[in-house]
Parts: sequence; structure tokens; C-alpha cells
Amino acid sequence: MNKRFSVLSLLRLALLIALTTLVLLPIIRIVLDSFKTNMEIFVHAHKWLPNSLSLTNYTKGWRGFHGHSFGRFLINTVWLSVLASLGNTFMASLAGYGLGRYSFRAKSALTAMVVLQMMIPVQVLLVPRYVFLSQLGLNKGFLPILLPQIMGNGFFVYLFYQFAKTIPQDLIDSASIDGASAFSTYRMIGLPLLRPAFVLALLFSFVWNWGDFIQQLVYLTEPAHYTVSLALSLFIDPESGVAWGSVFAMSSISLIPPLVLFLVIRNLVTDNAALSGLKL
Amino acid sequence: LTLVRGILFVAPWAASFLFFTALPTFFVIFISLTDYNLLREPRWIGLANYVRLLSDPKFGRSILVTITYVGIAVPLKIAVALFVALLLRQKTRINQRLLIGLYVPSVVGGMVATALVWKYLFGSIGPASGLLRRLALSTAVSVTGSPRMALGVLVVYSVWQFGTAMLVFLAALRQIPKEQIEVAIIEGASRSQRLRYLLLPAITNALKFNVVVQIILAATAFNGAFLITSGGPLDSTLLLSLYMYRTTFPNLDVGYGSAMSVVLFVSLSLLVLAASRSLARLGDE
Repeated sequence: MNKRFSVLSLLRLALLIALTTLVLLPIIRIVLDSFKTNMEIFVHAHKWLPNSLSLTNYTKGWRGFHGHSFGRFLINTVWLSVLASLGNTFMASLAGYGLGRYSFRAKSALTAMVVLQMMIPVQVLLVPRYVFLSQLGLNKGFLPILLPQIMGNGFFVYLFYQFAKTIPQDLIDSASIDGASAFSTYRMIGLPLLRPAFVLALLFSFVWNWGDFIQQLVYLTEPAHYTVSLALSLFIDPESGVAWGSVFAMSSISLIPPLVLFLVIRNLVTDNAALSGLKL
Repeated sequence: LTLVRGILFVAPWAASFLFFTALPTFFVIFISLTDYNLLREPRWIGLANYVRLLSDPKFGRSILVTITYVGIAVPLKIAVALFVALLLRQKTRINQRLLIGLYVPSVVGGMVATALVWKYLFGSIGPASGLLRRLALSTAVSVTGSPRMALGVLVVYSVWQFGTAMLVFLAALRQIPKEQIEVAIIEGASRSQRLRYLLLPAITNALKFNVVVQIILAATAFNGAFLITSGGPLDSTLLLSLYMYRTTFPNLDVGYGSAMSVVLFVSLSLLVLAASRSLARLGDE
């Protein structure tokens, strides 16, 4: 009996390791190919390991386009992602805390709103948002991407709501008795207890903005505002052919921030992603 | 007074939801009844855009492609997610490590960088195309260049990102008390019986959640079709979201694009409603 079990669990482990390797292959391939010469990429595609660690792709890719280096695009993306995730997380924490703490039978309405927000594809909203913002003169640069989310995204409101519900009422009551205002109760009791939600919301908001494509494609028209996503997509030029070497080199760089952030807080993510129903 | 305070906390988000999500949705419905190109004032044309949809072969094609894509990618992704979650059910150290690796594609899968490597792998010079040729599974020069297989690449690209669905299943599975499973084993329940009577009831809610979320994500998927296959070859991967984008942006046929948006939104709502209804019944049994 025991023997059969251990054979089974060994098989299961082997299968899992094989699967993990398989799903990581495309990402490993990006990094490996970033060191290859064009000859290796185009002719010897079946070989996995590069012949030598050439950095030509990195220097070529870093040159960027239209007089802007790839560094410019990286800085743009960092600004966009950091501002979006800070605003989004703070506002969503207020809303989620408010809903969880003052519990005015919010759950069903909130769920409906979040589901609605998920169901309206962002493609649908791009035009009307742009029209609204142009009326207010707020359609310049990153604003059409930033403004709709810095007041809090429904996903994160829902995430904070889930965490805020678990704060014991006694704790909040005792703070109110001590004469703390609603906002300082949020600051003194809410903030520490909602810490995991903050970390998760910051990470996901950052990663989504870092990787977002369609909004940047539609709204960012000036090369000075280009982001990493846009720059990468521009390497794929149907007329002059694809500069795969540069694509892989700059892709490798673009993968570093999300992957590092994820690995730092990996356990928090894997333990809680289900709770919030974070998308993807 | 508490109500006022509560509202103050929620107000910024609620206002932004109203201004950036709810109102724009109504505005899209209005635009869909007009002829509009962003440059001049919208001109009211009633239902003409919707009538035009009915006789637009490209629209019909994109609906068909989208239904095929959703119909294959969603069940497949959920099946893979459930399968892997069942394998990972025990919270051992090695399982937790593997879990991280299996979730990585979901972290970076939405990025342009990963879409482009898929374009390369399954393109004419790519190793995946070469491998399929050598295994004699395909005669096509490139998988993404074959009208029969290109949509398959997008399906695999989507299934590749099964991580979040897997975590949702895993959370549900790990909530089953260990004792229950032990008792079931002692009482001689077979593997399939345990699956049927112990595990399946425990994951009903997770399943429902995953189905709804994945339908929405698949029906609005854009990056793969835009970056990996560009909708081609021969429109075989022209997802509705891509056709909508092309109509609205490069062509500035905004009224017509908005009519597509409305169709997408309405049919998606109905689909999600139907899916969650039928799954709710599953839970009651």
C-alpha cells in the first residue's frame, strides 16, 4: 500500500516538475535568445543555448527610436506604473475599508459594480473616456491612462473590502471611544491590518500598468511618451522586418521588475490571489 | 453620522466609477446610434450601424472566431488549472516552490514581451514550428501562418496563463478538512468516489468564479490576436476585440465600432448570466 502511494507521489512530482519547466520555457527562451547573434536566431532556431554571450542586442535595442533611447521608455513606464499603483491602492483602500467597516449592506452592490467593471472591456471605454477628458482639457500625455485608475479600481476595492471585513469591530470601537476620528482610526487600525492587501494591490496595479498595452497604444501618440510595451511592439515592423535580437534583449529587461516584485512577495500572492479574484 | 463617514470613504471611488465607467458605457450606446469619427460632431443615424453589422461578413467572421476561441480556451484552461491544482493539493515545500513557477506565466503573460516570444516560437523561423514539422504534425512553414492552426496558438497562449484559476481552485481544495479525506479513505471510498463526493462539491464556487472570469477575459482578449497573429492569416484569428479596435482607431469609424462594443457587452452579460445561473443549479444538487 505504502509503496504504491510513494510511486504515485513520485509520478505526480515528476509530472509537476515537467509542467513547471514547460510553462517556463518561453520565458527562458527570451533570456537565452537575447544573447544570440542574428545568424543564430534566424538559422539555428532549434538550438537553445547561445554560442557566446554577446551583448550586441542590448546595445542595439537600447538605442530605441525616434531620437529616444530605451532608457527613456523605461523611465516613462516606471513613472506611469508607480503613480497609477500608488493612487489606485490608496483610494481603493479607503473605499474598501469604508465598505467593510461601515457595512451598509454593500456587498451585493459592490460585487455588481466590480463585475460590471470587469465586463466592460476597456476597448469599449477608450473612446468615451477620451472624449470626456478632452472636454476638460485633460487628454494630454499619461493622463487618460492615469486618471481613470488613480481614484481606485474595482478589483482592489473588492480586495480591501475582503480584508477590512475581518477587522474585529471591538478594535475599532475602542479607538472611537478614545476619541479617534474616522480617518485616524483608518490610519492607526486599518492601515496595519490591511497591510497584506496594500502589498498585493501595489504589486498587481504596478504589474498591470507595466504590462498594459491597448491603452498605451491608443492614448500615447508622441514618441517622448512611449512606454516599454509600445517600444517593444514597434520592434515588430512589418516593413523593415523584425529585429528579434533587440526584441529579446529589451524584453528581458522589461521582465525584470514584475518578476522581481512577484518573487519578493510570492507567498503573499499565492496565498491570497484567490481571495480577491485578481484577474488573468 | 456613521453613514456620512462611510460615504466619504467610498465617494472618490464611486465618483470615478461613475465618471470613467458608468457614464462612458451610456455614451458608447449613444455613439453607436450615430456616425462619428472623433473630428466632427456625431450625426444621428438611428440603428443604421446595427443594420450594417448584420450584412458585414467580417463582423460575422469575427463573431465566429471569438465564439470558437472562447469555447475552446475557457474549458481547456479551467481543466488544466483544476488538474494542476489537484496535483498540488498537499501543501508541501516542494509543491509550494513549483506553484511559484507555475504561476509565473500569469504574472508576465499579459506583457508585450511574452506575446512577442510566442510570435517568434510559432512563427516561420521559430523552433515550435520547426518541431511540429519534424514530428510531421504539420506541413505549414509556420504555425501562425496557417489558417487552420493560428487560432490554436492563441488558445495555447491563453491556457499557458492558467495560474490564477489554479490558485482559486487550490484555495478551495485546501479548505477541505484533512480528517474528512482520511475518513473517506478508511471507509474505503475509491479515488473517483472521493473526487465525486468530496472534492467536487468543495470546488463548486471556485468553478463558478473561474468560469465567469475566464469567459470575460477570453471574450475581451486582445494582445495575442494583435501581436502574435495580427488577426491573420485570412482573418482566422480576427477576434471581435481586434476588429473593434481596427474599426475604431486606425479607421476612426467610431460609431460603427461602438455598435460592436454594445453587441460585445450585451452578449457577454447574457453569457455570464447564463453561465452563472446554470452553475448555480449545479451547486444546489
